[in-house]
Amino acid sequence: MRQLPTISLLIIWLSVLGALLLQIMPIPPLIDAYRPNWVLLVGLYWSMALPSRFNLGSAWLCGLMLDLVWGSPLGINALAFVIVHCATVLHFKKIRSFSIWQQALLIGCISFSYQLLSYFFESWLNDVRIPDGYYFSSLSALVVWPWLFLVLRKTRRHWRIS
Amino acid sequence: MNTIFTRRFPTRLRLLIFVIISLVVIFSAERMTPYRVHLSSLLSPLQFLADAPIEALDSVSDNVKSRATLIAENRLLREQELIISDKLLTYEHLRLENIRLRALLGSPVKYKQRKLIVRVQSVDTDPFRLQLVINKGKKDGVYSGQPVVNEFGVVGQVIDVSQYNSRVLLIADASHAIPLQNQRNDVRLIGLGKGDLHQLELQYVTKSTDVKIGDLLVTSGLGGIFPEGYPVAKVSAIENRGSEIYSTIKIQPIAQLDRVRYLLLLWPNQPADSDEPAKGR
Repeated sequence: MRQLPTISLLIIWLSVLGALLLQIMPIPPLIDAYRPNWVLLVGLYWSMALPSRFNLGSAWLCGLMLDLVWGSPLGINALAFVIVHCATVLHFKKIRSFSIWQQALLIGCISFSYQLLSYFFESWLNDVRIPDGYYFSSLSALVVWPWLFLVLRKTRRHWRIS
Repeated sequence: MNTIFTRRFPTRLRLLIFVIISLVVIFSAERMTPYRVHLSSLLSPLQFLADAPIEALDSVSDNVKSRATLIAENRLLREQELIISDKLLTYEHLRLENIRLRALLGSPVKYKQRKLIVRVQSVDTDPFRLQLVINKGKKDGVYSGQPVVNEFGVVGQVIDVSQYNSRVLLIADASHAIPLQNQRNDVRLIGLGKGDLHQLELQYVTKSTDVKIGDLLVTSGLGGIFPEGYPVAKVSAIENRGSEIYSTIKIQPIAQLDRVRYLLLLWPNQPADSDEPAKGR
């Protein structure tokens, strides 16, 4: 039996809020640079698994929420999110058929291009410099992806979200 | 199950639409400010939630301090109080004298202003920006452009206010500049952030300007944001390159920007009855 659309949307957005919380949670400065962009990863998962529920509009909203909690210039992350989510939205069928480590590699690349894009947009508005270890977070995105994927897939199947 | 929607609205068209919306949002940042207050108020519960474990840990560690630590801390505070009140004895005399002299000049200064102690929320922020989130917002009268100091010197200014918390841009951020004057000779300077917490730079200082290593730079009161006389930085290095007109001068902020826990918000335009800050905890 299929889940009601409202419940599906509710669970999807609850997972996004959870990702936002993980994103701003205080962690020791030593591993702070390795914090993956949780919001991006969760967004990529939903856009790949259910493009009918989570498309570019939702990705844009996620980016905007990240702008608000991070205090970035409004729209910077939203723009970068929309652009990188195109990859998963356009090729969701292909990516679904990949093995989990192939997916992880791809997600690492997408996260890297997101970081390049957001640096590009920020440096376009302001004079910024790249903090130390900025790109480590893509590396940990690669490592974290399989586990996040399994957890979210479990959630999706348990609640029969479609 | 999901092939129809792509036909209805091709992805490329969606992309174009959202890129245009984003660009409009980015370029109308000034006009978006009032909406931003409401939008960030919607999400600020997340920040309180993320900060809650740290705040709880703080109060736990306050409660389980041993007797010996408390005694040691108490003794230290007593000694500090003695030193500070000794300074205040002469300060009060000088203050009254200054008021009399100022009155002779016809330009009285306001001494007492509204102040509020705030706590820094430990939440992560944009990696490209040096900023802090504090636990007071519009509800307590915090406004955008408000000066923020701590016990050592100037920390930054408020850039973004939500209902219950707000965001402080540090003086070391690459988009921040602060008008300064040299305490030794009143030369006016501009301190420019470089995105480095431990170093700022002085902008457009000709080689002939009288600046020495170790000079204390205080706010000049120009620009209308920071009140006059708060210490900001010490000159740490001066470099003169042969072919350039300006010298490169590095300054070191006095407020230790990487380890702030409690801050003081100032309302320079709101006189207060007493000089004591309100407890904001």
